[in-house]
Amino acid sequence: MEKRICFLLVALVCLLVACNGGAPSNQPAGKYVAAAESGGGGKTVTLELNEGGEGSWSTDVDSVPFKWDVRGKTAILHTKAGGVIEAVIEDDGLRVDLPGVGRLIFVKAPK
Amino acid sequence: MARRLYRLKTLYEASFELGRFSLPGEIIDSFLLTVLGAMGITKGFALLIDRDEDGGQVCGRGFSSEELSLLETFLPRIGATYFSGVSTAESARLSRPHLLSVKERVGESPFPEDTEILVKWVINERRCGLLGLGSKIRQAPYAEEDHEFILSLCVILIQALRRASSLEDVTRLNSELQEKNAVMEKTLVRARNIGAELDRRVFFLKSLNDAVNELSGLMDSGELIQRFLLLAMGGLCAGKGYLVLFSGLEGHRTLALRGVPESLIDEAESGDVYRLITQELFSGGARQGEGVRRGYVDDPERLIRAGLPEDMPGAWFIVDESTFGFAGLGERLAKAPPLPEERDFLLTHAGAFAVFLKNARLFEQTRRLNEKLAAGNKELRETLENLTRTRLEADGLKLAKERIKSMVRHEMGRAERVTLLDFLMILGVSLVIGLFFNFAHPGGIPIIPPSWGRPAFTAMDATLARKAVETGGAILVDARPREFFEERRIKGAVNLPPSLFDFVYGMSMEGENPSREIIVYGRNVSRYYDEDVAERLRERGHENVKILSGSLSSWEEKGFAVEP
Amino acid sequence: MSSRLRSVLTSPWLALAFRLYIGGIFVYASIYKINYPAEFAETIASYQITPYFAVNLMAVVLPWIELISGVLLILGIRTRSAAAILLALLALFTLAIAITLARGVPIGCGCFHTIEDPISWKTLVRDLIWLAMASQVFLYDKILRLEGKFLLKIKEL
Repeated sequence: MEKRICFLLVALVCLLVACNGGAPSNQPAGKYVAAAESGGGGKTVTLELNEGGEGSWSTDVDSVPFKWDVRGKTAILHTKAGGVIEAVIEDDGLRVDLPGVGRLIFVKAPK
Repeated sequence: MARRLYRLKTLYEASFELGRFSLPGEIIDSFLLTVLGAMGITKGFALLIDRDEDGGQVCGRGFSSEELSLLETFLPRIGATYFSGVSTAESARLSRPHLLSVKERVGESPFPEDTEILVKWVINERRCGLLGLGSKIRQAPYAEEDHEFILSLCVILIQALRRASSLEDVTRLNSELQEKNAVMEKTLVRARNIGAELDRRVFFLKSLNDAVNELSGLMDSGELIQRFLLLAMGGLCAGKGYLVLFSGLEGHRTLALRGVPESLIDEAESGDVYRLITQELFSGGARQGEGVRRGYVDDPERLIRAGLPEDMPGAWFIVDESTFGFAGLGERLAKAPPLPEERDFLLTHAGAFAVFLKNARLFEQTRRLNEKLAAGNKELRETLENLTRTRLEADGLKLAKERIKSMVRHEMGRAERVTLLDFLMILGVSLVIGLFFNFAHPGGIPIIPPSWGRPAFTAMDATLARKAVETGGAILVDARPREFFEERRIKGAVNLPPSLFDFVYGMSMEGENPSREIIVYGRNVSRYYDEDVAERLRERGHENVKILSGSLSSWEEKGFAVEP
Repeated sequence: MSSRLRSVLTSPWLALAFRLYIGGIFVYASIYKINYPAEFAETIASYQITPYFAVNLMAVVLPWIELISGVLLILGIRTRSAAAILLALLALFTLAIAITLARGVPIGCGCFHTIEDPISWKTLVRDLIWLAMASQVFLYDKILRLEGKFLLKIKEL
């Protein structure tokens, strides 16, 4: 009887882990384009959020890959160097606040 | 004168005559004749007395036979009477004849009536004699000359008698010698025979002794049997021999053969031989003594009945209640049946052999028993050792069980306990897995601080930095994370944390002049942000990157502008 | 009255509950840190307590310690040792939080996710409660252990 409870607990934990590790909601997946507003330097940034938690941040010169997942109303972008960028989801768009750059509004890219 | 001449002549002739005779009887006979003839006497007698024999001879002429026989009867008395005083020393003196007068006779006389003259003489202490003469023919008395003549004649007689006596003695001695010779020869022969017999005896005894010595040294019954047979054959000079031994209840048969094919003895069964032996025992042919019963058998019929070869007689013997045997010997060199000594030898030999055999068997039995005992002992000892070992093992096992139990209890207690090992294990495992995961995973981070491997950046003093900023157009970069930047920063600095470098740089400093001076600041105990950013700037092509020495605090100390 | 409270407090069933809860928390917490070690390193660095050469190492090893100890605690193997380790970690964290609060540095706790509410006294209390739970587990945990099943057989010996 005790053994069964033990196994159930283990299964529960594994489930919890699996729950958290996988299955990010892929709601905001897609391609976004932002025009710089203030302090952006007039650059166009393309933000791609792919299914499976991967994405890329592309400018004219450069493309930086990252991993992302969703928590509540924000999409969290995890950079390779260990940085974290919050992208607030609002009306089918994302709002990103970069330090030293300013605010960027991303809208869904036209197909 | 003529008479003297005549008498001398008579003497002369008498001596010759008497010398011719060797027997005393003949001598006195001749003498008597001579005397009687010469003197003209008719009757005369001569007595020869042998004092040792108490006898003698009587010779007479002219006397009657009764008178002569009377004389003969009285010879010993006469000897005793007339010659009693004779002894060795006097013989020389009394060799001269002595005339006795008739009238001097005393008492009863054995002499005949007509004896007138008696002459007594002594030859030696043994022999003596008397001459008795009757009257002359002419009846004349005896004159002095007659006496002298008679005496002279007697002297001659004595001489002759002496000579005869000597001759007699010599002859007697001779014959005695011869007898003795014969006896000695016989004795010699006997002695030689005895000697030969002794030699034989010695030979047998020696053989027996040697045999016994040899056998006594042997302890192995097989060897004993062989040796015994050899020695028996040697002792009896036999060319071939066999020994058959029956022992035990089953009549187990042991054979020893020399020059005899086995087939000959095959017939011998223990039963038959035993019957033979029993027969011998009860027929009295056995020799009892020294405890070993044995006997000699040479009767071919009996041998055949017992299944033994008939041409090899030998000895049977009984070793003990269940063992008996027969030894037969044949083809003797002497080609004659064995002598009693040889039989004795064989029997004694067999007796000794039986004793030795019994001893040897007892010895073997003892040795077997000893071996069994030793084996039993060994087994016992081994069993003891096994037991001890088992006990030790049991002890060991018990100890082990105790140890295991205590270990188990310890282990069970382990769940209750906290040990250093647990910590080390968990930490160790975490370390290993962590590092492994880190290196295998794409998102891994460098464990060794990268700044250790990089060439250092030029440090710039705060004052100089400010001057550079104000005059040279250098850019100040705040490398710290946003929270710190927002909290406090140098006026005019740009926030460029290394974690968001790629993003921010791409946005803000993309088209910047690579040769423009950039001064980076911002570090704390845990992170050298300025170095990280400076390195990244350098990677992007900016050569003129410097680090503010002392970071924000030095700037603040100098009293330079700080936001917010 | 206090004796009943005492009996409740020292009950092994309570310990079991705490054990499962603490184990679960740590397992859950460790997953994120294992997946994003760079971010965890940044978090550690932001406390400004660890020397710079140890930050990355700690960021790599600590999550695994949390994970393994958490699993052990849930399964009931070496519970006391695992509880002791987690106690030590919790103490460490509590101390760091206290220091940070004292310094007034506005950083996130970093316990579960990088982006969180900044540290406040609430975080400290939370950690202290966890500390208390872990100590109770350490002292009174008895039942429902995987080890126990195995040992029962040996006990029969």
